[in-house]
Formats: sequence, structure tokens, C-alpha cells
Amino acid sequence: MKNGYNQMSNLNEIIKPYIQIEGGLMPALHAIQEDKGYISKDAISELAKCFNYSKAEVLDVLTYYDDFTLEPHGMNTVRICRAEACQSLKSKELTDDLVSHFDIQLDETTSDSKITLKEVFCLGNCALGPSVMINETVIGEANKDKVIQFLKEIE
Amino acid sequence: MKIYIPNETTSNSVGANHFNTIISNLEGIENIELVRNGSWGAFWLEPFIEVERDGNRIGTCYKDIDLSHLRTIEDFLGDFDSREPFDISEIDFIKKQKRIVFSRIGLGDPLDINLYRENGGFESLKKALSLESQTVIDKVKESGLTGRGGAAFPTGIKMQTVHDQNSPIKYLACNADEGDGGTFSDRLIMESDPFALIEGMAIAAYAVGASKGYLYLRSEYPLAKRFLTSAIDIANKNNLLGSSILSSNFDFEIDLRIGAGSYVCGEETAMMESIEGRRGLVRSKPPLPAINGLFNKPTLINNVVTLATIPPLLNGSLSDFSGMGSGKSIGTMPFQLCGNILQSGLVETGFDISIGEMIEIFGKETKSGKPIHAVQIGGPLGLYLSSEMMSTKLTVESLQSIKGSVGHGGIVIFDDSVEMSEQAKFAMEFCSKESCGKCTPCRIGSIRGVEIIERLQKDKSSQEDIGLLHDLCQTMEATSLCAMGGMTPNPIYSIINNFPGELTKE
Amino acid sequence: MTILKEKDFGTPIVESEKNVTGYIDDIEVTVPEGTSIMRAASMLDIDIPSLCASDNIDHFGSCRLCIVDFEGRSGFGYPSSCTTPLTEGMKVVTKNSQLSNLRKELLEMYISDHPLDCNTCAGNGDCDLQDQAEGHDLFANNQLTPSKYSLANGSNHLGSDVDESNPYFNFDPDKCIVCSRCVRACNEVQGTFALSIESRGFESKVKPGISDNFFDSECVSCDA
Repeated sequence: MKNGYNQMSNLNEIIKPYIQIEGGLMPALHAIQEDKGYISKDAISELAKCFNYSKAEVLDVLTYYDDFTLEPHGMNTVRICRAEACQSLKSKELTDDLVSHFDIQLDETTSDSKITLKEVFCLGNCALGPSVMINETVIGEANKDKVIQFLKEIE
Repeated sequence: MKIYIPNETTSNSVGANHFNTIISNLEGIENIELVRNGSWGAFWLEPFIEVERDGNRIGTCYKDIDLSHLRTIEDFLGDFDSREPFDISEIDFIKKQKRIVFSRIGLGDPLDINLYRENGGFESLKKALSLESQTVIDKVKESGLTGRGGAAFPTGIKMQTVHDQNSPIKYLACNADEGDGGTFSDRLIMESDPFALIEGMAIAAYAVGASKGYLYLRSEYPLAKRFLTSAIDIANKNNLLGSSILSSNFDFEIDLRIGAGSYVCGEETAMMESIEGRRGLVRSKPPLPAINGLFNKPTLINNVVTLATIPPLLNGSLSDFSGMGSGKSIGTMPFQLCGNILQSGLVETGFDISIGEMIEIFGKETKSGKPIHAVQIGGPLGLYLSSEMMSTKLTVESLQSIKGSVGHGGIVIFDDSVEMSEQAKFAMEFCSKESCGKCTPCRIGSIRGVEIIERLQKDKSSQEDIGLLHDLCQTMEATSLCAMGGMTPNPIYSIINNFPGELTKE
Repeated sequence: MTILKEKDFGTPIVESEKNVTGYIDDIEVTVPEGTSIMRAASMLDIDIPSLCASDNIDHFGSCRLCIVDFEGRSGFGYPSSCTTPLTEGMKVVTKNSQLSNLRKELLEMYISDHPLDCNTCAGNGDCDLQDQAEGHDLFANNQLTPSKYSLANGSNHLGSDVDESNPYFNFDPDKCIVCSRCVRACNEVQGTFALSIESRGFESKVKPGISDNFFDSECVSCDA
């Protein structure tokens, strides 16, 4: 499942189901991130309005978490696991390979907006590392070729 | 005839979904039942595809095998039989375990509620509902169960505290934010036996008087999210969740909440902040969550495995469980053996096993074939054992006595290509990246820790930097708000002590 | 210090029908149940060092300077006295060489990410960090003593632009120690909720919401 870029769906409609839920700001942020690919200033204003928070309060919460971004991600997010079990199976070399191949650093997006590279600490696939998650698919015993192959297949 | 192809993150990561597509499209598949089962947790054998014929079920590993030439099911069966398939329950890796909590993973479709019931599922919930809530708590106390998330706190005592609070509203919160590197037991239960967790949550909620449960799942587990969402839905439709469960007076609903990329939200108070829709900052204690927790109400917080252990305890396994081990190390622990190890996977055994035995019996040797140099136990806040410490027992007490902990049960093997100074640097780097930022020793200390270790990597004998590192570790340990900052020095101390000369030359 | 300060008890008043009696540095004190150790100590004119506590906002437990020791404490390390209530019979020690040393360590951490020259700072003479540094031998010639944790090429947040947009005050991010007193005051005292902490960990920064500067934000210049 790719990062959403649904510019047509209405922010208020996305947020509405979560307003009455206790702690609903978190699932509302997830819903917007999934639909739009990032949390825009408009989304922050709409969330503030719907939850009766200040914009600062919304910003406070969303910037704490890695999953919510203020800028759009690329169409595909490639998360490389850098936790210990994957380290034991050369995740560092894999990271270097992918950084070199895509010619961007971690937390950056390619100029064609297709790929965002990120690090992640543990995908729970520690038994068959090094692991990479592309959108919601985990690749075990990963290497540069498998990642490139998978990206080709989902295009 | 049935064909089993697992649908689980690790199996899929090495092609299970791909094989499912191929086999689903073979001629003749219409006459065969294709089951997407859970994983058996013997991950080095994944994707483990099985065939059941006339009550005989055998399988084999299909990793990296090219089946693109197959046209019919007969083709597949011919290929399958040529690979000497075997009964997975007969291999040492599985046979020598004591699977009480993980007894059903791999059997069949994790969402097949009838299969779950046929294997004892929901009998414990039925039994619990017929007992007084205090009786349920007494049984948990009797079992000797302690928290499997890392704190090893007696579960029964925690339940008693929540039970005794005088509040009409109480909550249960299941901590499924399994963030430690080298751990996957929570994920495996959630994907391959989700009803076990749901049943455990329902029983625990009944025991303490909670009417609502929050299941806080990390966002890095999308497949677990799908399985849990479906399992909760099925349970609701079958009167196993919701109002008047199994025609009793007990109402209980589960609300699945997803994290958003923060390790600290696996700390119980930060988790509560996150569920309440806030920044995942750590709260001070007192008050204890059991007294004043989620939304200011008494809240029972337990780890996934702890909750999934409760149903077997009420369904015949109590004496088996409580008869194993002693002290805080009673019962079984689902160790997760991984990293650079040939036979990686889920190993549920008693605690009274040494790390050497764990490797000899279950893991065998490194995947690379090179000698083992270090073993990390208990995740990023645990410790590193050297190859000379293989007789160390994996009990809570034994590891605590060398300033370590069982933690979540993760065991990561490193061969001799590992640079221990890099591991020490990672301990501080991880802390700095995941720090919530509230308290100074963790927020600033962790960054300084990375910087000091980088200098030590250039000159291991710099007395000034060695002194700085010791001071820093002591300060973080003595003044941090939570275990994140407070225990980050532990892996570093273990590297200094167990690998002399590899980080510091004192 | 040349500026007269109103006594700050550290944490807000707590009301309770029940009282508890404990001992702070061997001095007996009786307070309403739920009162923090910090406040109880303050009532005895024992001022436990702190950088993030203030009695008009709820406790936070960020700076860790206010750590104390008492018999039977559990958990990791020393607890903060602002977040821990005094309980019946509790015997608290607020200062000894170990605690003093740890406080000095914490201050050195703060100073490693802070400008040293107090001469050019508008807060000179009215600054808790300056006071605490002086009290722990980390201050001389109107300058903070360079921290042992300030390593060559070490990370810091110095060199940020000062936000002068609001005519009533300047915000200099270089001086911020992320104690969150401003955010908490804006929330709890003023009720405007105009301030936020952006990001987390070492990257935590006080921001005036989504605006680029204070003047354009939801801030109402209240002086809380």
C-alpha cells in the first residue's frame, strides 16, 4: 500500500469519526497521514478546530512522533532496520548500499518523489535480518537487489 | 488434502505470499483446501509449506526455490515430495521446547475461531466467568506469573491492586509496543494466535473489573494490525467481546490503538499519554497506573505475552507452569533467538537454561559460520555476554546479579565481525534518538555519550574520556526519570567489563 | 542576587482533610497529604535546587536537580522531590555529597548546550541556571564555567536567531533549557495553549505553534 496522495478527500470527513473518541487526536493524525501523505498547516488548523485544541497543541503532539510528517513523503517509504539483530547481519552495509544507490541520505526523498529512505528500530523480523520495510511489506534477508526488484514490481 | 502456507511477517518476508500466489493458480487447486496458517516460529525454515494427506502432515522449506515452471497441483506435489518433507513437530527445535503459551501457532488459520475452540480456546474465559473475580486473581498469584514485558513484576499482585480500587470505571491496557531490537514474541502471538491475546485480555479485565481494554500496537506491525482487527471483529460477532459476554453480566470491549514510531511509548506511562492523544512523555510515579492510570482511572497494564499466558493457566496448565523454576523465574518464557544464528526463532522453555545450552540445543551455530563473539540479552537496555560466559543462566535472578535483565527475552547473536565499540555507541545513539526529551540526563546525556564513545574509538586509553564515560553513565543511572535513560548504561558497563580492551583500555 | 524574589514553594498547594508528618533533613514537618517533598522542604526554608519547578504550575520532573534520598525508595535512581509526595514517617535527605555531585553533573550537561557569557544576557542576575551554577561551583567572573561535557565538535543548539517579533519580549532559543515552564504556564495559568515543544529528545525546541515567530502566533503577551 503506497503513501496516500488523495487530494480530493475532505479533511473534516477524515477527522470526524475520531472527534468523540477519547484520545482521538492520534488516530485522526494517522488517518490524515495515510490519506494525504503528510500533515499540512490546513490539517493542523482543521484538527485544532474539530478537537477544540490550539494549533500549538496539535503541533506539539504530531512532531513528537516519527510517523507523522509536516512535509510530504515520497510515493514509497523504504525503512531500513538498524536495530541490533539486523546489525549483526550487516544492516550497516545495507544502509550504505541503499543510500549510495538512491543517492540520498536517510530521511531524504529522491528528486522524482518516488522514494523516501528512513531508518527504523526493529520491525520484529529479527530472525531473518537484515530487514527492510517498503510501505507495509517486510523483506527479510534483504539486500540492495531485492529492494530494487520489489520496487520495480510495485510500480 | 490440505496445503498450508503461512501468512505471517517473517514467512512473508522470505516469500510465503509469493508461493501462495503461485500455488493458488495451479491447475487442480480447486479440489484442495489451501490454508494460510500461522508460523511455527522455526523461522530459519520459512517459508515452511506443508501438505496434509490422510491425516499425515509434513512440510519443507521453500526459501529461494523457483516454482515458476509448475502448471498443476500434481507438479507441485511431485516437487514437494522430492524434497524429503518432514513433520515439524518432531524436530528438536520444536520438540525440546515447552510450548504452553505458544501451543497453537502454526496449527491453522489464526482467524479460524472453530479451530481455536477445538484446541481449548475460550474454555478458560468460560471458566473465569463462572468464578468470583478474586478467585481468578488468586489463581494467577498461585501460578507465580511475572510480567513478560521486561519488568518481571508479579502479575497477580498488580491485578489485586487494580481490583481493590474503588472505582466504577477501570481500564485494561495491553502493551503491544514491542520495540526492543531482537524481539518478536508479541508479534508472533498477535499474528498467529490472536484469540489467545483476546481471551487473556477478557479474563484479566473480568478479574479486575475493567469494562474497556486498549490494545496499544506499534505501527511497525501492519500485519499484526490486520489480524487483530479481524480477530476482534470475529470475537465481537461471537459474543466473546462486547455486552453480556457468553451470557454473563460481564461487558468488555477492546479498542485497538496504533502507535506512531516512538520506542518510549512502550514504557507504560508514556503509552498511556499516547493513548490519551498526547506526546509520549514519561509520567512520574507515584501515582501508580494501577491506582491512577488511563484517563485518571485505575488501569491494569500488561504485556501481550503476560496476558496470553492467562488462559492456559486456567485451563489445566497451571501446575505445569508453576512447577517450573522459582522466584521471579517461574513458568515458561518465550525466548526469541535471532541475529547471526543458524536456527532462529521462538523458543518457549523454562528460564533455567544457560545461554550455552540455548545455542547448543536450539540455535546450533552462527549463520555466518564464524565464531560467536557476543550475545545480547534483554534488548537495548540489557547486556552483552562474551563467549566465555556461556554458562550464564537465563533466569531473572542470574541476569540481575550481573547487572543485566531478561527483558523481553530477546537473544541476539553476534559473530566475531562485530565491533563492540560500535555496539556501545549504538546503545547511546538509540537512547538519543528515542528519548522523549523530558529529563536532562537522558536528553542531553545520551548525545554526550555518543560523542564520548566516538572519541574513545579514536583513543581507547584516553583516561579523561574513560572517566567522562563513567561519570556520565553513573549520572544517567542515578537521575533519569525512566528506565530508558536509567538502563542505557547497562549494555555499556557490560561491554567494558566483559570485553576488556574493546571499548576502553583502563 | 540584587533582585527581590517572591518565595516559590516549587509545587502548588495541595488541600486535604488528612495531614502527614515526615522528616526532612531530620526536621519534622506536617503537611496536607499529597504535598510534595519539595514544597514541604520549602516550608522549612530548605530550598531544594530546581530549574523546572514553580508553585503556580503542576510538577514536571524534567531537570532532575531536585532529586532526594529516602529510606525504602524504589525504582530507578533517585526520585525527584517535586513529583514525590511526602508520606507518613518518611525520612528524606535533601543534600549529601552524592546528591551534590549528581546535581553538578546535571548542571554540566545543561551548560554543555548553553552560552557561557552571562554579561551579555538579558537574564543576567535573574536566572535560575546562573544561581544553581554558582551554588555548585560552576560560575566565576560572571561566566558559567565551561562544561566537561562540552567536547570539540559536540552537538549544541547555539547560534539560533533571536525572535524579536513581539515588542514585549525576546525569545532567544540559545538560552532555552527545555524546562517547559513557559509551555506549562501558557497552558495551566494563562489557558491560551499557544506554545508547543516541537520534536523530541535533544531536538526538542520551544515553538510558538505553527507560526514562524511569536508575533504571528496565538501568544497574547500575557507575562505569565
